[in-house]
Amino acid sequence: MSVYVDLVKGIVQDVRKNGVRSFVATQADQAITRFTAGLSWNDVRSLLRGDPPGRPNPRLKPHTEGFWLHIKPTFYHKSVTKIGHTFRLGWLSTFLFLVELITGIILMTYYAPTPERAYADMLRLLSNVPFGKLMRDIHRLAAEAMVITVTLHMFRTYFTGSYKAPRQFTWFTGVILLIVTLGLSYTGYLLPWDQLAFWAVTIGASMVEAAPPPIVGQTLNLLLRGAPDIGANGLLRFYLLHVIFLPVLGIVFISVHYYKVVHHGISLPSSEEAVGEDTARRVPAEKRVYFLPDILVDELMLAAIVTFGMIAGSAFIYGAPLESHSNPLSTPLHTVAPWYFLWIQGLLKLGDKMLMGVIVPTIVFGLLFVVPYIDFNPSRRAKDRRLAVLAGLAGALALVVLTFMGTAKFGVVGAPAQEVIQEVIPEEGVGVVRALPYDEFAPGAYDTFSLPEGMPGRLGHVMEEIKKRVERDSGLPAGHAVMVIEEWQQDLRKITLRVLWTPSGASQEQQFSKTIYIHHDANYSAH
Amino acid sequence: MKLIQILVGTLVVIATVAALLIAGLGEPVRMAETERAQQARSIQTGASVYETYCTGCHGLKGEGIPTVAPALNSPQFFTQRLKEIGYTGSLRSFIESTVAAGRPSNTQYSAKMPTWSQQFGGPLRPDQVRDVTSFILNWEKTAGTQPLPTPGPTATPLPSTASPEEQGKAVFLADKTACKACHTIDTEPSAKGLVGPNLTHIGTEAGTLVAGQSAGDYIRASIVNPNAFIAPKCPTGPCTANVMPPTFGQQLSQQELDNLVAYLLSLK
Ligand code: HEC
Ligand code: HEC
Ligand code: HEM
Repeated sequence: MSVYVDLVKGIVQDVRKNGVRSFVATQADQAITRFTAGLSWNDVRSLLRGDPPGRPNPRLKPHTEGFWLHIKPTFYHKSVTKIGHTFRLGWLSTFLFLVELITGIILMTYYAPTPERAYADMLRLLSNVPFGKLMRDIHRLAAEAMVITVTLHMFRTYFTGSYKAPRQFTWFTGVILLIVTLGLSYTGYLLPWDQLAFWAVTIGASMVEAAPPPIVGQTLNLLLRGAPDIGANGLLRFYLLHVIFLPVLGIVFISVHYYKVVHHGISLPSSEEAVGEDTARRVPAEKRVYFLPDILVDELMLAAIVTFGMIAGSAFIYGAPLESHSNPLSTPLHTVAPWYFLWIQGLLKLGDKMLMGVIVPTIVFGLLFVVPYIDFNPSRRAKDRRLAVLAGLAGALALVVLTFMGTAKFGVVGAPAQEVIQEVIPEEGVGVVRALPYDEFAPGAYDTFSLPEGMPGRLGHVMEEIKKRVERDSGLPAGHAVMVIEEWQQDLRKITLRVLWTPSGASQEQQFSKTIYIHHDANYSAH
Repeated sequence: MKLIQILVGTLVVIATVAALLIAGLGEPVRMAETERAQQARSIQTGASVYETYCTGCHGLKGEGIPTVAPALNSPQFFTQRLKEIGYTGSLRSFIESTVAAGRPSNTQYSAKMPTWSQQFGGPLRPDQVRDVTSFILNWEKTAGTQPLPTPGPTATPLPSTASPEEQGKAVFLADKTACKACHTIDTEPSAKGLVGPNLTHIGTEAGTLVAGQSAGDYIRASIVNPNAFIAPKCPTGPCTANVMPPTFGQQLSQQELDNLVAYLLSLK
């Protein structure tokens, strides 16, 4: 008790002697020093003004005393701060990961991983949660951006030879992070439970099933999906991987990765040190760029720009896709993997599932892991490592080519009439017909053989387009299309598009048709 | 350099706040629009579900088929039905639960309302049940523009000693097939349907419609796979596809089908 009495007495005395203002100022200063883990108010001010640090440099204290900055180097070599050396790709990856954590936690509050609720929760998020669509769009956009930055970061550390001694393990943890990043994107893909998600993931999981020998493939598949097919169990497992296992793995390995970067320093441009030497940690005083304030300002500015890009991009430009409810009974016409796995889909077109879908990708990632341990060339200079640079370029080229081959364009084509209809009224998405305003759909039957002369309106324009498309198609001899529009219900019209053709030599016309319904308020033009 | 970075950073933060503000101001309108669009698409999807699963009994546009299944687009359904049976919930929940669970027993109709929800072993997911309900509810605004169906008399089954033609005729007139609800046969007082073609002379006409197909084959194909060839003339204009239920192939036994074809062939 008396301790507190003494404390109060001391305060009163202090205030009497020096005045209230001085007392408050001292207290505030102490609070700031505690908060910044070592910087007084004056230190902070001189930091903000950009004054040179005093001696000893007080700005090192937050690195040694505080938790957050102990994982950042106190200073960098001037040469590695050049934008063209790292392109800040490591920091960008970290920051996007943070964006994902924050938006992801918000999304979790509105989502339950069950087949009955998942899709409905998505719809409710979009229509009933303020900023719900924004959160979802940012989460999706940042995820895709992160896949890109992480991949580019890998290529940059590869081409600068930064994986060589002593940074082999940094690279190794990097490959783990690459797998975590891809895994996060992929497991997240399933969660909306729409057709896009369901079928992309079904294709992917079937790859796991092809792992040899069959008993291994089947067991892995069962572990992942929780049943022979994706259903309630699979959704729950993907969800848990997505919100617990992979994020925790990511946090752990980003920490290890960062620790290694602090420990070894960022590698210098190879031209600035002798072959085989590593002087990243021996930085002469005049070459030092301190984290506080220079690097911090740089990183914060970058973070602000990325945040702006994510928010403005999602609010005004980008929209995460949401197709119709998943339907295990109906495979969409052209199912594609998410774009960052198109290269595997491209591979699949070159061989069978086991070889191209499982063995080759496993070898690719296996090679990535061991790159620093099989590359004995001590030089990081491009002219000394022709083979490695060539291999890297070949890898990048293969990635691009295979990705392109993986797209639907370069793939199985359906029957001609089916393709025409898929182009005009795609199973998912909008297409030229749905995009028309409701009032354009005047009930009637329109045959491209006998379109009313100068058929008015945008529907007329679309019919002309369909006419050209059908008549151009060599698979549709004597082809024409009929669109029948019927009044069906209040504000609902039924639209049947029929493609007809007569195969050469046949006497009877063949046809393929598809029916959709369009409601006055469906508002396709808004998307 | 650093000052520029701080300046740029600050401006960008301000721009971000502004972007959020603009987006936030638009949110109420956007959410309302999204909700309306979702409701509209639910009706669209429901229309397809209805077309696939329900037209065979409840009619192409919910007008019902006399003696088979009730109309779902009548004013009576929207205004009287709940009171009639003393159901206190909403019409939506009445429809959803009826569709999900079906009606295992009934007295009035020859067909039974099947169980549709996957929960009870049917083919529809919960969202599809909701969608088809949205579609049915959308008839409310126009309810009453179609005439109310009147239940017809029921036919009595024949002993199996009768000839194939006579047994086929019994199948045709039975409530379970409801052929008579859609087709007219001039000589049959209970077959006066106006949805499908008049079949009074189908035994003669059938051989002339598809080149290379015999009359018997044509009739059989018309029953089992009605969309393979769309008959040219229906009482209310040209016939359209997807009206005649495509399910008779499974519904009828081989014997019943043979008898039915024999009967229709005899209508010269
Ligand atoms: C095999 C024929 C059949 C099919 C197919 C069928 N129904 Fe029914 N349905 C009935 C019969 C018969 C009743 C009346 C049952 C009773 O009242 O006893 C009924 C009743 C109903 C009712 C309640 C009507 C009322 O007034 O009580 C609704 C709603 C309904 N059906 C919706 C549907 C929907 C939606 C579908 C398609 C998914 C469908 N039905 C498919 C035969 C069918
Ligand atoms: C819901 C109404 C409906 C029911 C029930 C129905 N039909 Fe039809 N039927 C049609 C329509 C509409 C067509 C014409 C369109 C077509 O060819 O598919 C048709 C066509 C036919 C044709 C071809 C007629 C021609 O002139 O080419 C035959 C034969 C036929 N139906 C027999 C039957 C038999 C037998 C049953 C009962 C097992 C039956 N239908 C039940 C609506 C119906
Ligand atoms: C989530 C993913 C990742 C994050 C957050 C991350 C973060 C970082 C950061 C911040 C640096 C400091 C230098 C720089 O910014 O370039 C770094 C360096 C490094 N990273 Fe990564 N990284 C990730 C993935 C990877 C991957 C996939 C690889 C390679 C397979 C990799 C290999 C390396 C190497 C070798 C260095 C040392 C570079 C040098 O010293 O010059 N990292 N990483």
